Amino acid sequence: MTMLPENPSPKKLGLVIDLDICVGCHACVVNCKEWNTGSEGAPLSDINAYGAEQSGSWLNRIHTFEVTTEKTAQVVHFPKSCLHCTDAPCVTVCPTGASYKRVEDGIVLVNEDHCIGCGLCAWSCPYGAREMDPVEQVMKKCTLCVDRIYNENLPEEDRVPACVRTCPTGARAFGDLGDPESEVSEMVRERGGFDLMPEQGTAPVNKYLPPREKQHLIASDAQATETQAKNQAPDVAGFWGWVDSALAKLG
Amino acid sequence: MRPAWSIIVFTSLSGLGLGMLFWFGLGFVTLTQPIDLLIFSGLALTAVIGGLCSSLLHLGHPERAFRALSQWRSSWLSREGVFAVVTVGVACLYAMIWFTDGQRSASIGMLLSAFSMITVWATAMIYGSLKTIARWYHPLTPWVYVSLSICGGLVAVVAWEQMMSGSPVLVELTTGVLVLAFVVKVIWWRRAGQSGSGSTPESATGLGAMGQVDLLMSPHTEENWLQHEMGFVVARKHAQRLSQIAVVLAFLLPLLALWSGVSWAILAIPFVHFVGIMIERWLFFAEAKHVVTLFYGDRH
Repeated sequence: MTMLPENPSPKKLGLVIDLDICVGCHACVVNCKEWNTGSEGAPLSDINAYGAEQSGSWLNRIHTFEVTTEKTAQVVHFPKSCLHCTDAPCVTVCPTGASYKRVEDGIVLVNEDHCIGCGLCAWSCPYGAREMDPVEQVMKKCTLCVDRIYNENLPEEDRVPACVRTCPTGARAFGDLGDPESEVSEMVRERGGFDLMPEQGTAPVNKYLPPREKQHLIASDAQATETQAKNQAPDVAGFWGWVDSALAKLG
Repeated sequence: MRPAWSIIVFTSLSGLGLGMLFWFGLGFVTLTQPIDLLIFSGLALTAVIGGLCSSLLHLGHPERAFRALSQWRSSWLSREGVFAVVTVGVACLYAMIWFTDGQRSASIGMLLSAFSMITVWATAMIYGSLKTIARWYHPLTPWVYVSLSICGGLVAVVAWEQMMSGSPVLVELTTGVLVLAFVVKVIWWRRAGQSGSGSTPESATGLGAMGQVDLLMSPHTEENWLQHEMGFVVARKHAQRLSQIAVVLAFLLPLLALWSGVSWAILAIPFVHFVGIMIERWLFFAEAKHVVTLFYGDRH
């Protein structure tokens, strides 16, 4: 049923992504693809994987942004996957009931056997969290590794989403964001965790933690000017100094 | 948004057919012999069902399309399917009763007119309910679809009447409807066309407090499905010229033909109008911007 659950459980499983820590290595992307291509649904296919114009379905993507002010510039690596929204528009637009939100933990899933591949759920998602599989022609999305987190055949430390398990820097945390006492909720409180595009009214469960203020970015104008001056006129003596001035004269 | 031909044909052709059923239900169609009834309703139903079949071509799994009738409580796409099936059923019943009794049932006709416009409304709301596309998420969007559908149906009826009686009829009414549909569309272009999503790369990433956000590296070197589907930009350069062509074909030429009183020109009106509507529909998709492109370096 594509109505959102009428009486959802207070449990809201999701991720907290720390933009201060992420180094943009794409390990989470690769492990996500690896795990989910072999899980219950159809494999995550690739078209022309080793040639020109490759395409394929992935459930997690890392964008890299540059955040600039008049004086400073900072690079922020930005992992993006399904945010398992509380008011998920992708669920209610689905005409077949294939797209649904689980009552017990709020995970948004697709029943691939009922998906007609119309793509409307992807149109309704502001975050680009859903991708059509180019071979299976059904909609693919993050399952929050529902086949890992409850899987008693796995050692306990592996019962977290593949992206969280694999992150070498610990930039991703998994937990119950509906429980104010949980570790992830505490992280969000302490670090000022935020929603993506709150104006879209989707009430995402996943939260992002902002990059911390960098000391070297608080450099004064004077310092910046000094550095600039140094870079412009390198003080080189001897032979290389002569080469430098000779080349400069040549124009 | 990428303008897929299957969707353009679906919305414009089924819109035309449902508009014909709207006027058919109101009894505006002159029938000189019983077989005319089957021909007119057959043409209208062919347009409606042809449009629906075209929409199936857009699906990854058309064989599962029947499942799309199940979620009418929340999904406009599902509602559109349900209303379309009901409308086709009512149209068949109405035509059958008219054919066998020799007299039309005004009440079933009213029902047919109502259901055909509710179906068009539902078609428009598939797009009009998407908050991610500011241009579509506007209260006028369904009114554009409904007025263009009524307009298309009427010009088809006018051509039909010309064929039946050999002289122009409904000239004033058709002029009024053409002008009204044109005005609604122009207001939509002005209002909805200018409306922004309110989202920016800063709100999309939540990093606005730190400064201006620009994409430094895309997650992938090649275009992915999201960009292919929602990052269509080819049309924007020619958008103004194309919208002028659409206005000329859909409204101006039909008006001139109507007032000229020339028989062949009036017979050509629905075809010229339909080509104009196809261009209008192509622009409806091609000009629409999706907020996901904000993650890929766009700034709306």
